[in-house]
Amino acid sequence: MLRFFSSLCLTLSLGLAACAPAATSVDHAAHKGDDLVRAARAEGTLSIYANTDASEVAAVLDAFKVRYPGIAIDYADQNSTELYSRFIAETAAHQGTADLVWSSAMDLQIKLINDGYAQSYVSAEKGAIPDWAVWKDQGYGVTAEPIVIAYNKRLLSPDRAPHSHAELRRMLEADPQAFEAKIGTYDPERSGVGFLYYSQDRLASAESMDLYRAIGAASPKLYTSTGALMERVASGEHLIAYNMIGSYALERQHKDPSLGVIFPSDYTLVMSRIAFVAADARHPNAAKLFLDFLLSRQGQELLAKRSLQPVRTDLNGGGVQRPAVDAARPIEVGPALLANLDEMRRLRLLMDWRDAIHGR
Amino acid sequence: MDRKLRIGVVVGTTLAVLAPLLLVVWQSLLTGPFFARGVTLSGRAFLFVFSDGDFWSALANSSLVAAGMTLIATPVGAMLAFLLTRTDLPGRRWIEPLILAPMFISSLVLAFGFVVAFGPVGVVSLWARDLFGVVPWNLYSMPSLILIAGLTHVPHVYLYASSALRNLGSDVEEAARSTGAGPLRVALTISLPMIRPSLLYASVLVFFLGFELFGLPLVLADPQGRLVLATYLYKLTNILGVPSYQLMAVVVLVIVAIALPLVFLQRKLLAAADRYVSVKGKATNPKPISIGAWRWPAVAFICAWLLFTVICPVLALVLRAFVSSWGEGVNPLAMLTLDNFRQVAAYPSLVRGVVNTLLIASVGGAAAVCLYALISLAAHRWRSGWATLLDYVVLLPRAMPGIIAGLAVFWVFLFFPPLQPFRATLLSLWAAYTLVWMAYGMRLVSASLLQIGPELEEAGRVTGGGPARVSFDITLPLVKAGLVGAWLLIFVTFLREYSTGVYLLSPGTEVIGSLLVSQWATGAVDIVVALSTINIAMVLGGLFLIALFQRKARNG
Amino acid sequence: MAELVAQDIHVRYGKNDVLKGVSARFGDGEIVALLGRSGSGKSTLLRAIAGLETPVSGRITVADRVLFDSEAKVNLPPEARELGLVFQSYALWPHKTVAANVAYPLKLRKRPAAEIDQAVSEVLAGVGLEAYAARYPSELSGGQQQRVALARALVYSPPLILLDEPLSNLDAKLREEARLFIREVIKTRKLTAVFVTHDQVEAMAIADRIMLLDQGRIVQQGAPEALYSQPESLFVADFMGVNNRVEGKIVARGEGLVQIAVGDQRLWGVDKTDGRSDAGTGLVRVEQVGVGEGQGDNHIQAALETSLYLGGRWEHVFRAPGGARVRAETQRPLAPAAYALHVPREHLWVF
Repeated sequence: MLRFFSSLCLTLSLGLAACAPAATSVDHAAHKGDDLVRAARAEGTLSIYANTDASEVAAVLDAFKVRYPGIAIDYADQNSTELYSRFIAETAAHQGTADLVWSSAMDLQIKLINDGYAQSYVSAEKGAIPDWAVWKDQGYGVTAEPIVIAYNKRLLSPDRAPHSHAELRRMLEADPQAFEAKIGTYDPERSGVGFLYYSQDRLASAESMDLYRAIGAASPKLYTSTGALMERVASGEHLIAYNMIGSYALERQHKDPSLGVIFPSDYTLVMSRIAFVAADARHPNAAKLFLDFLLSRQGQELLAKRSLQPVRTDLNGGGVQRPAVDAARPIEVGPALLANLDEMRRLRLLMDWRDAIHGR
Repeated sequence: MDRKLRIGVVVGTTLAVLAPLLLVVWQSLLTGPFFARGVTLSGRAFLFVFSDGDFWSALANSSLVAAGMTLIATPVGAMLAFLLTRTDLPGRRWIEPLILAPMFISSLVLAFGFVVAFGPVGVVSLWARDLFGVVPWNLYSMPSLILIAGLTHVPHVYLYASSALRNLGSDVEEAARSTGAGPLRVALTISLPMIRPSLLYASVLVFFLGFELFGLPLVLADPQGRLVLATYLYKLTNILGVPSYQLMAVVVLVIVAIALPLVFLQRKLLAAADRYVSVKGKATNPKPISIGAWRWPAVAFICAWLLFTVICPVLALVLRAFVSSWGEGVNPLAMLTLDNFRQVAAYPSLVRGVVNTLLIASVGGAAAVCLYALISLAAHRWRSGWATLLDYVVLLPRAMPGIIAGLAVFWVFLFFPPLQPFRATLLSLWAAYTLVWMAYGMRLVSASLLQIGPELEEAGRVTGGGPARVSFDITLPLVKAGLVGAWLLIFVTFLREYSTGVYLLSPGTEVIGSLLVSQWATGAVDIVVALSTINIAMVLGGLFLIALFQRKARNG
Repeated sequence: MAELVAQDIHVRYGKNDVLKGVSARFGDGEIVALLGRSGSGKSTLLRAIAGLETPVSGRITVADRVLFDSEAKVNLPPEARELGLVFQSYALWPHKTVAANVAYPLKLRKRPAAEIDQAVSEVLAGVGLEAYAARYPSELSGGQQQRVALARALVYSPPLILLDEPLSNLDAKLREEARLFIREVIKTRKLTAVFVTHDQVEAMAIADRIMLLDQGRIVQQGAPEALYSQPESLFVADFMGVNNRVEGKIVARGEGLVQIAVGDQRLWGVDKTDGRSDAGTGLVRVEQVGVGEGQGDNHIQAALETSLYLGGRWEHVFRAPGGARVRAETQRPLAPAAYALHVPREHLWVF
């Protein structure tokens, strides 16, 4: 029910995007922004922990510095589990930690917010963000990135490639031999995002376990690293990467046209990189200012240039390919994700997954 | 050094080593992160791990890999050592530094090179497929993993075997040859049996390294779902959704428990090895054995090994760094580009990583060698329980996988107030590196210390020099060459280290190793290969320096 | 005045007792040899005096300075003991020139540079190496290296000098020169000297007094002639010279004499037994055995087995009827035959 509601929201907001007045956000920032900017300048620095590569956000950081000179940014990019470990340990030691935490590990981010590691802030840009991407005025989804099927165009012609979950399943069931060891995907047991997308698949479709069984019959290769998975599809070692993060695949497509990207037409999961201002932030105002900037038109457009699809509803994708509106299934930024961290539920879901993959 | 200072150094070293380790032990007995509220003592973590089938299969795989690679690395390393140190093999002076190369390239990088070269659609594989119709090997099988692990650990055996062989008087070999034995027979029946304790020592080392193996299985075995202990650690990070330190701590303790008896065994073997050497008396200037026609098969054997373990994967990786795409149906030569390097140059954090890596390897490496020298001097020629304690203590950090050692050092810097100001500086990284490589570095330093006759130092004392003065005026100048050699080896070791710095990565403390790990996970393969290529170029530069240095040392 | 006194020194390596209570007095200006087989503890005693070994108990003093006292918990480090030590391997520092090696002790004592230069050239001249000051030790011969080591130990004029097997690394010819040279140098400087050796000839040649050690104890000490001609035990007698040694049964005892039966031969000798056992060991120096013909008291009939020419004299090996082998020396060669060997009773010691 909740899910249906949130996707409805997205649909509506996307529909409205074209006619939304472009000036609102700037006005918004202007009217109460002055105090914030002054306070942020007084703080002078800003520490960000993120798992988005510094190279992906370099343009955003530069633009922020141009717009708000006098605020130095320490941007630390690291893996989501390391980010989580450092953040909670540093908070416990009261030795100063990130002011802004921004990660694609949605369930870990929600857990941190739920455990009181975040502070509330009503972003000036909140009006332009769909409801599914904001929780408790603390967690803000900054992107809306589709989860895609990536494939090697050299070895699998676009007309043969599967265009939906159902098609993929039919293809695999029809000829499992042709895909023997040719499918790669994240390993939900060892990869946090792998588990997230698997659990969302189960919510999105009643038939998802049949798909996983079909994948299992083709002896899939299981990865923890996006780099490794994408590299092996690009090289042709695998034909298909299932549940690849769309932004990475699209970005790679710029340089390597042999990589094909499909937004499954029956449903396309949409994930978001969640940012929050740390409860113990030493530079909370700078963090808030930067969060606003990330969500602003300018920030979102700059992210879109690196294939990180904007969450804003008034940008129309910012020039990046997006899934069909009615197929998009955003993963809601909210407490439902906490269920993923329930030990019993998690182990049970993993057992189901094992049974499916190993054909039991 | 007087007794007080010695004890001070031993106690200081012990604290520095035990603090992170005890933190891990403590963590294993808790229900959550040790710093979290509401955590209680419990044996649940042990129960969870020991009742997990994956743990036992990881342990079994690790044992199999460790045993298999030991069986491969020991004979190959011993043979190479014999050929290069005792025979007139052509070009042996230039081959030697190349032999050490696999030791100094991140196994993560090397493993990726293997994928590009020998993977199902690798450069060499596709060429072989054109030739034979099928790819005659499967890189991702268990035998391949064992073979690669074995062949890339040949340098470890080589190092110990060659130094033992150098100490062996050539008279024993000449005696065998004069009674009618051919070169191969001499090697198999005289030289190698005589250095058996050193070979056993090296085998035990390789066997233990087998349990620590991380980069190779991560890249080569992980996608098949085949776990080893170190990659099982990764699984534990995620299995409950949040990092479960207590479970990881249990696995680390298992690895430490495997390591301790091996360390004990090594100590025994080492004592035996030293005894052997002293029995052999003076090694006269060793004369190389002429191996005549055998030289060509020998050179071919070495080249084949080099080609497979170093040249092919490294060239493949370098090739990958200069193309935008590769694999089946791609002509890599048509894809040549410098974009990957431009990308690295464009981002300050990556450039900083390159600079920091050089800094930590050169300056940090020198500081580490100084520290190792200080600790070695403290225990030098000291018959005392303290010295024995130190022997064990310095080997302990080696038993912790680098990534966990890094995490533990991070915790220590975070929760120990005097160290807090240094947490986000290169100093914390240096501390972690120095700790993790302590056993290795101390062995390098103490080996050269032991080569000084004790009477040279005693003469200094009797003529009126205090212990510190004698260390400074006599011991240190005499081991100068040894220390420079140790520094060069530590330099390349720090250059290639990757897992230890992961938790200590912050703006300003980036190093190539930890950048590789984080970029690899997020998918920036282009940056990974470009950084790896830069890293390999640095390592080759270091190896070149080592070769020059050895030439100079040999020529007096 | 440098009288060295060691009292009840015990040294232990692990569970091994190396010195089991050694007490010794080394008089001022005296050269004393510590003689013994390897493992006898002689080097350990020297190293304990130098401060390179720490005894578990005992007391060591030089003049009225206490170097070590286990009860008073005094243990001066080697550098504070002010004595010279010449090592068996010379222990010259390979990274310093000859002059720098010799100058180092003075530099440690912070003497002015001019004084150091003068002292170094004087002492080098004293050992005949003034021309080699700028060389490195590896560029010198063994004999020269040994002199540098001696110079280094003498340059700061310690009252006491210790020498650990100073001649063992020299070849035979040099050794004879060196022992004369060393004795001369020590005597002209009026030093007290202790030196360790395993060679009784060397000990007798250099020392004023010899201490013979065995298994961590001093077994006998005295002037070289006394040790040679009046040994108190079989061990001392056997160690000090080249001997014929026979095992036999004591068959008769007289005034200060015993008769020992070896095979069917009976010989009288000086009684050095404890009188409790009737098994005895006879010992006679090779040079005391007379070779002649005929019969008589304390004569053994033996056939010549083989002869060795030793330069200036011959050593012969005879086989007695009971199977015992007897060695004797003559100034001339002997023809193969049976001879009567005379063992003078005053030179046959029976233990």
